[in-house]
Amino acid sequence: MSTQPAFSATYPPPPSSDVLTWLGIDMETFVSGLQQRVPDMTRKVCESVGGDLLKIHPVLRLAFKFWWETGEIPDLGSFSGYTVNDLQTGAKGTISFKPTGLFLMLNTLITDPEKAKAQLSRPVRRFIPPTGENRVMPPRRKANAQ
Amino acid sequence: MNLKIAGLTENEWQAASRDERLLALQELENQLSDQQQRHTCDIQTFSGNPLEYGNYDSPAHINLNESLLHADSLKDAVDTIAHEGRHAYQDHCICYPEDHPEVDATTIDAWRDNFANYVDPDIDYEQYLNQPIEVDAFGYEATISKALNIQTQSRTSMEALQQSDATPQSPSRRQAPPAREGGPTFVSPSREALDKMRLEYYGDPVKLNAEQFPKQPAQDATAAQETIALPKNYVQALLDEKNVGSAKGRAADEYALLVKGESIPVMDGSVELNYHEPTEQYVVQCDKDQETALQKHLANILPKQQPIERESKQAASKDFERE
Repeated sequence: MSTQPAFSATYPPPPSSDVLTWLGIDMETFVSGLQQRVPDMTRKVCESVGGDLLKIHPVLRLAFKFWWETGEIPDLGSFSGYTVNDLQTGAKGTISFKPTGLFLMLNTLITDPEKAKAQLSRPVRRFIPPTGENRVMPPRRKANAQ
Repeated sequence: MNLKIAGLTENEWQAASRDERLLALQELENQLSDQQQRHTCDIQTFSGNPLEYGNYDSPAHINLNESLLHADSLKDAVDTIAHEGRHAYQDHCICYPEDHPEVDATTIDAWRDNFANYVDPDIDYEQYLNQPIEVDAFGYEATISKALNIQTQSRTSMEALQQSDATPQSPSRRQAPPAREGGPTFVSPSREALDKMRLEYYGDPVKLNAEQFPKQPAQDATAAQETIALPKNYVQALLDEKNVGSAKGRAADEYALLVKGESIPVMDGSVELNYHEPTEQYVVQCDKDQETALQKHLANILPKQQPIERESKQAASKDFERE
């Protein structure tokens, strides 16, 4: 048996810039497109979340492209016991993920399954940002008021 | 930090009713808001996803999952109130920075920016955990929990707490709000029982995975293993898109998918990929015999109706041999 490999290939991932090339768009289009698809996110959040999405595992990229073009996330089977539907609906006792969070959690399930499982079972405590331009300020402590 | 609150020891919590528990948590919020020199929030309850423990609804409310008032875990409830109260503190610091010289301007600016650009966990879990206001709140809740645990150890009962001269019996500024109509009236099962029920209802992901793929071939026990099951059509689409692998081309892509390669069993229409060490860079190395075996295996996996593509793979493979 020959000791020389017939070929070698590295896997994964290609550089993040390849994702945009592959999608055929630039970063500006990607960020603004993300904001259109997930309206709850501010521009700045889209930029930071978009940066994470560019690094998702190659196995997920086709599904991401499918979502980008159709708004639907295809059934991808099981990732350490969790399906797309499980994560979208919270059917296995997780929070219900929006598409960006879902792809990123699937990515963690691939790259670091134990970490992902710990995150999925961890309780969530969150902050509800004030909405609208007429932000209601909290009452000032009387002791502090001048 | 000095915290003395009736009702927030393990024994007292176990013996307390739902309303008594809520009253004790409201008193915790009262004392924390005093210490932090901020507004005091009303604690309200909601019913929903049991993993959603609570939230701070600016500017006046802390919403607490009703289930925490029926569970045995005092720590979960206290941590939640401390955590959400910290968000109220951040809110107060942003609005009245001159009242909080203990926080530097850079931190307040970071909090202000984060309030305007908050990342929910359902959008990006990693960023949710690592954003400034959450890092601060998670850190703070740990200190409160620790402070109460220390006090819990030094107290044996509510009576001892009430008899202590050093204990300021500050009256609650608010009465505990009543449960929402239609809220649970049952006696909650223990934490262990709840965990068991949850396991029975939702299933254990690891066990579920094993049951889902009972024919999974034995792997190297020393390697970290995780199973990813992708529909066969999806894998085919990945190959078609040349979405994975390197500049070696199509055949290289396919072998990258076959990277752990001795076998990729096809079960119920799915191709199963076994990732032994997901963070390492996978390198495929084959000799001629192995390549022939892989080609044969690949031919069995790929749809029969695409002979042209298989020919192109063989041609590409020959190119690699020549190299």
